[in-house]
Amino acid sequence: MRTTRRTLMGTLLTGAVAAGLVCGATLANAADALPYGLKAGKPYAGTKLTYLAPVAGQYEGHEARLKEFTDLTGIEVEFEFIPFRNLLEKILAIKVAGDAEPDLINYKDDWGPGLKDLFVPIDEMMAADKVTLDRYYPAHQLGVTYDGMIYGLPLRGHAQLMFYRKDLLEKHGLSVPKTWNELAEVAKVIKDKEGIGIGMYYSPKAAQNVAVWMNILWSNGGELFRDGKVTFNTPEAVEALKYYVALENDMKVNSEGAKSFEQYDGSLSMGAGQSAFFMGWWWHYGSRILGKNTTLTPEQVGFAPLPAFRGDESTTFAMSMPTAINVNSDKQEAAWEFLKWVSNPDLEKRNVIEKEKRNVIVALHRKNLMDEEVNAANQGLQMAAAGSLESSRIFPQLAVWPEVMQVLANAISDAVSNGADPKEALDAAAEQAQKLVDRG
Amino acid sequence: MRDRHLKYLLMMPALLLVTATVIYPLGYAGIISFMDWRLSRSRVPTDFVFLDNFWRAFFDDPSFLNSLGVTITFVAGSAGGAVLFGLLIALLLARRGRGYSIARTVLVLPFAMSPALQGTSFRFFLNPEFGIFDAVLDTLFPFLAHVDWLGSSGWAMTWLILTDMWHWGPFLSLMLIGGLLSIPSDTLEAARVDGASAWTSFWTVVLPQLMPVLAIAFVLKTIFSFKMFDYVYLLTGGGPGESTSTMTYYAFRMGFTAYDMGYASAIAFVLALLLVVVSAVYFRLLFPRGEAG
Repeated sequence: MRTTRRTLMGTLLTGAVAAGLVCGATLANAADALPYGLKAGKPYAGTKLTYLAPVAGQYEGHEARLKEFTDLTGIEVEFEFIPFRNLLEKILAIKVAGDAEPDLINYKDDWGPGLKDLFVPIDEMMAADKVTLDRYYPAHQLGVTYDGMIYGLPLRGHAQLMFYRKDLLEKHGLSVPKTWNELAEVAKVIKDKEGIGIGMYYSPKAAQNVAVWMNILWSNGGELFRDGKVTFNTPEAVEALKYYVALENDMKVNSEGAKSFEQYDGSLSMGAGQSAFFMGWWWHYGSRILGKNTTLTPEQVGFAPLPAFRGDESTTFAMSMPTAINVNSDKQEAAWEFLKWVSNPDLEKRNVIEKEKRNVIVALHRKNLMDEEVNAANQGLQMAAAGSLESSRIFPQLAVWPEVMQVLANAISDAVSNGADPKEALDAAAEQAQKLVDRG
Repeated sequence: MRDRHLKYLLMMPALLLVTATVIYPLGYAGIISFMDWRLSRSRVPTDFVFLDNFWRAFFDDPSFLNSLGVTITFVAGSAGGAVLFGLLIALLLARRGRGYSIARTVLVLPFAMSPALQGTSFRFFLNPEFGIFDAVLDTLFPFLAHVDWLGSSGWAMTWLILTDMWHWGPFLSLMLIGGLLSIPSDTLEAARVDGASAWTSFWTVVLPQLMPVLAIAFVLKTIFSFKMFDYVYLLTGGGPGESTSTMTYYAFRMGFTAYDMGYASAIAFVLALLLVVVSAVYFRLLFPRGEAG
């Protein structure tokens, strides 16, 4: 077949027009495309969502930037803040009532297995919008996944760190302790010379003593459960409890009040200059150890991974607070749009570096924890937490875990305050816990 | 005829209110206590389990039996303590005069304050590092300088009782002041004429005549003490160990931590039955046989 000049020109012209049309359409689409996978064209404009969140600077930071989301999507969001201590009660009330509101619920990861039928699995939504959990650390990924399904995105999360008085260690020529025995020795020196010790806590209130004991337990090779059986009364577990109790009763290296202290009291004690060490969630650093009402400056406070009990490596415990979509909500698609926006790493980064109105330190995205700007604004706290999070574990994912944890907290408190034998206390707790597990 | 209908009509609002706020919740809790309702499995009650929850409470749950013992200890301490404290205040303030009248008005304040606020405040007051109560007690009694007030079973229970006494004592004193001022003055004068000392007058004249009011105050306080939750939740969290875990606190824990609403209802129902018994005693004291009608 012969190709004439006219045919060739016609073909080229047609091709050029077609290419132009395709490019034009692509450019138009690109102009309409929204960040964070948000849907273009404001399909949910006018929708009003409600979001239940605990009182924390981080969520206040989200609320303060809501206009950006509304401008992008036309969706309005009303935050309902509730003190963390009452959050579970509120969520259970929502579950019993079968309420369609709030559309979005923030919860603690270990409550998830018992609450999951209140939440929408978001695997398909994530896949459709190419949102993955890879951006988070394994402990935070696990915290939103139950029975292989993803029920939320982690918005808040904590790593455990050991905070110490850098100035006092330098003053007495001491090194940062890397093991629990070293900690006891260093704390003893500081207590003898300065009169202040470790801001430890043993109160069963809120069961936070369990988190400290678990670090010693894991580092000692113990486990809470094995193959569905309670194993927190094994020799390793008993040894861990004996050591935890001995810090208070035999070594006497804690600050006053540890038996009745909960974690809040421990960090408050350190912030008030009454303790030289504190072990707990990193968020305490931003508001209770340093902050408007404390006596310390960033130069006085150092942080390091929690000490190891056996060997050099410690296995710390991490927790997260995911946000999920209410299964009874009739605005689930709009809620997903909000979840994509509120969980984006850029918003998180701005929340932790913009310090004018609130001192937020909590970040979860891997890239933010390693970010230079983020670390510069927070004395390198996120980088330290990143190391801790790499080897972190989470609470067991059992519906009965919150009650098992309370049983354990009571046993620990009984051993330290009432002189109960650690082995007997753990045996009794294990028996009670096994009944709870078997009952399901 | 019309009168008969009218009286029922007039009673209707009160009956509806009592049905909605007392009979329905109590009845519903009673039904749930015979059912399996674990919130982690279902948002509504599922199976009828008859007496399983009650059996578990009395024969398979040492924490429940502990909470029963703790509740009885607390009731004995707080009811007895608050009435005695109230009596002491009443004896001091049962006088006529403007100053006494102002003092009696001020006495209402501790009772008017929210228990939540009091619980939180007392926790701060007792903090071994900066608590004002701790500082004062350490100064007055140096041998108590290193006591962790909420860190041992005995002290934690003592402070629970003292906090409750601080809340209730002044209110009960108002009841008792009324009783003291209604004692005929001629009986006291007669005792004085006979040469009785103030102590003898109190034991032989005042106390016997005050006994009905005292008994009512005691039974009323007993009923309220059985329901103690706020201070346990805020002050001790049921600890150390489970040494201050009252029945209401334990029922709350079973409902909102263990997600077991059926079992929590059974515990609450046992408490309700105990209260019915105490209330029966209360009414018997208020309306002795022959006076009720």
